[in-house]
Amino acid sequence: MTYTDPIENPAGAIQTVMLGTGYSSLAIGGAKALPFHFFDGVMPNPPRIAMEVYDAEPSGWPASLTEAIGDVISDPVAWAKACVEQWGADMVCVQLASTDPNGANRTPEEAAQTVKEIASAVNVPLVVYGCGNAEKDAEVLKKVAEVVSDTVLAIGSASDENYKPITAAALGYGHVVVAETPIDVNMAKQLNILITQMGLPSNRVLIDPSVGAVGYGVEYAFTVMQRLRLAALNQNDAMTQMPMICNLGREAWRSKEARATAEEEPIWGDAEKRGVLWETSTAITFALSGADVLVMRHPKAVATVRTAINGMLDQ
Amino acid sequence: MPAVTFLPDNCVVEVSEGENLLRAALLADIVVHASCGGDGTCGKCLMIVESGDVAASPSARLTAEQAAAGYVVGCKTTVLGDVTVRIPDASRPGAIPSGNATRRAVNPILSRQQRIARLPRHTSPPPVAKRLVRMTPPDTTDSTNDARLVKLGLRRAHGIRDATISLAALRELPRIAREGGWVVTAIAAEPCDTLPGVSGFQAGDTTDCQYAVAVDIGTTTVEVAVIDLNTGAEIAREADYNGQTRLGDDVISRIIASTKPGGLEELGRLVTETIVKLVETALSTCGASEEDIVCYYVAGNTVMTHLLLGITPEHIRTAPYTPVTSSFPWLRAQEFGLPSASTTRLYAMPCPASWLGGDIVAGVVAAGMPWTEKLTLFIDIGTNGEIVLGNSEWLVSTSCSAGPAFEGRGIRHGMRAAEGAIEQVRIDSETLEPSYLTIGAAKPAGICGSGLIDCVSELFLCGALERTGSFVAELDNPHVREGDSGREYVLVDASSSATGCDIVLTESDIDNLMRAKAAIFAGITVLAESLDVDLNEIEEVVVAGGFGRYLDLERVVALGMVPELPRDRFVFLGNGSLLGAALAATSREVLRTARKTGEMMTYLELSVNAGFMDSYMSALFLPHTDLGQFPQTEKLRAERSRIGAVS
Repeated sequence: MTYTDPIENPAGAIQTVMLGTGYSSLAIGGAKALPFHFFDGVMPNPPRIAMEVYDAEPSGWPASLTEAIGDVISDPVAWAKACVEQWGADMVCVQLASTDPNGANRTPEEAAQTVKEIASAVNVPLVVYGCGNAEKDAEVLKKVAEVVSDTVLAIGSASDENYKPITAAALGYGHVVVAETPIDVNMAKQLNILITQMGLPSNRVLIDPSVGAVGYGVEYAFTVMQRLRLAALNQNDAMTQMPMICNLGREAWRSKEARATAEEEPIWGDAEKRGVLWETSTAITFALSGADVLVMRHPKAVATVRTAINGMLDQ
Repeated sequence: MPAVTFLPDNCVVEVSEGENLLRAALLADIVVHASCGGDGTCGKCLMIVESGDVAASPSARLTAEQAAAGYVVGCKTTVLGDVTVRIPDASRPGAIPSGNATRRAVNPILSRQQRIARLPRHTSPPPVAKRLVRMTPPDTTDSTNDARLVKLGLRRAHGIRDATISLAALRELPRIAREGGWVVTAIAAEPCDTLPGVSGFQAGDTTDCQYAVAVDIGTTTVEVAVIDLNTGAEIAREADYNGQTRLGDDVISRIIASTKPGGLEELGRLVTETIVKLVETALSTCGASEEDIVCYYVAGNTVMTHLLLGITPEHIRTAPYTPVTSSFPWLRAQEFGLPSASTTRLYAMPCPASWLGGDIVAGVVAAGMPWTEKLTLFIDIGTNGEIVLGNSEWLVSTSCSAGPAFEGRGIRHGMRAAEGAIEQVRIDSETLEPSYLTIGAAKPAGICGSGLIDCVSELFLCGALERTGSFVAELDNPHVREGDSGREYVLVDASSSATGCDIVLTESDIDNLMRAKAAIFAGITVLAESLDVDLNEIEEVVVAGGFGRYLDLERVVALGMVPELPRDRFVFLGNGSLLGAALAATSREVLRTARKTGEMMTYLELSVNAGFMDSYMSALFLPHTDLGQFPQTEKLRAERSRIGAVS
């Protein structure tokens, strides 16, 4: 008797979500098998790397990170261009942190203007995250959706508190919604139901499952993502078949291990290597658990993750 | 010592200075709501101080209007001198729940004929009964002794082998045998392990009058039924609140109360008093004599059964959560001071697990599950949702904590199913205008469990609620307003309510109900999944418990509390616990099956089940994350919210 490799034949497939426009458009997702399981089925689009750009110079970041980004850190448009042109990002993730009512409280109009400038400066699709304040994000993202309507943005994150206005804006101006839920399979499904029942097609939704960095719940996020993916493929559960986006740069660089200087923790070794390693290992973990978009910060981490993904694609 | 006068009872009690008003009321034998057992947290023991000196600690449970009107929280108010206190009706448990004939049952319960049809065909004699023995008088040629004559008679006429006779009965036998002209009535049972088979004799044939008493001890209510053993018919039934309620509303607070000095004895005494009162009333209605009661059959949850028998339930509450015993010996009713003869026995239904008691075993038997081939789902909905799945071949059970929402607790304007409770709600899809029915057609005082389910379900079907249970944000309707803790739906205007304030349903009330229904549905799902049973394969759903009768099935389904199955697969049993106990009284076969069921039933512990949390989260959605399981509900909602003002 001859041996044949056992092959999983998944019943379902991940949606393909199109972002951007014209020659800058990019397909996300579309896998018909578990990540990198080429022996089971196709993975037409590798995990995309979206590099973060903040709309105002971030404070409190470790020197190992700010120095790597350089002077562009104070100019969102230049920063975005550097991400694409120097560091090879597939996408740019604009973080509108300065709209936070507890911070600079910039207006939706100002935020939209920033996004518009970045969109015209780079030829890659954008993901636009608000500041995390449900009410303010709804206003800001509505304005962004309206002002930047000549390209398909991914706007978010929409939660159960503000998914309605955000979904309505996406419906009205042709964008994609990032649906964020706190690391739970059922809650992710529930929010997808709410959003798609408003009439947004399921190929215009990305799942942000809320992840944690290595040492801070990475294994929990890994399992939840894996279960979402298994439900999507094996059970053909339509409400889990949206591609996943992992906002992990923020998480990795929040960890003490990534932030501590060599003076603070002498035996931990070089601060930059340590931080980059922390972000890299977190990102690769999620690439393996089904992330379709990795939101990252450090150029060196991006380069390493790119090499790793390409290596896996070449197997 | 200061004297406290309670109005309107006009009851005076002397207490030491510093005693709180709740305890004073208990001393005066006035039953007051105290869900928390006097911890000051539930705020239900409201009283009005009309005159006299008290020291009241401030409480967040009092509204400003109430405080201004002289209201105090009883357990947080101490007596400083002579005082006069009025206890408003709202602070009292109110009318007897199931004795309340004005309550409108939504679901017809199974008739006696229908129930009998579910039991085994062949009849079996009662386990304990009066048995007529005609003895052949001894003479010089046949010197058989008295006891042997009785044993011979029992074997020949009743098929009872190797009967043992108690010492007390033996002492009476020679006199009674001769008085009765060698015709005696033996109060005899199957060999019942701990007690001799024959507990006593009566001269002559007294088998005309023989009764058993079935007792259902619920945490909230106690119900008794007198059964005529000659016909098997129930001839009287009475119900009342469990006297233990004054020491706490739920099982957990009872367990805590039982661990205080003298608490176990006190709880035993209180429930016994309740039973005694009910049995006395029942006996006087049907004219039966306590001398003719041959046996009590008691079914209660594990904690209630432990408390009645004076066995400590304290370890049920702490890890690893075990009861002292799951089966109980045959006992003498007189040990408990129940209306009885010295010969009367008491049997308590087995309690398979800490959270699965004799009430459920009795219910399962009353539903005929041990004799049916149909795959049956048995659910008893209360603070604890007990679920049993199976048929004659196997039975698997579980229980899930639904919280007290169904009993109206943890709900802003929740109340028990007593007079004035809103028990049915319909909401106009277009205007969100409510219409409701109250128990006893009284002015509405609050919402009980069935009203709460109706109200939330209706709001959801109208499209006024999101699937997450919050009000639709864009909703612009005069009935929905911003309250002090989120948005709320105004069900009754202050001008029409019995309490003088608006009766509202808040988002946190809806949240509590969502959690309760999710726990029940998750329990059902996990049980079915653990047996690889698809919910659609369930051929019959038996809804037990008094509460089940008043539930509107369509709305319960719309809420996602039970699976959406064809309407004709649901049957309503009523008080299965009492019915099961009564059935056991009339049939040896049923009692034997109940004992076997208690031993054989498998119990699935949800707290250590890996899949439960997942099922629970997916049920925490209206009606469920897997909408495909609720096609009819989805259709109904689509239709109703289309006409509605909100979409």
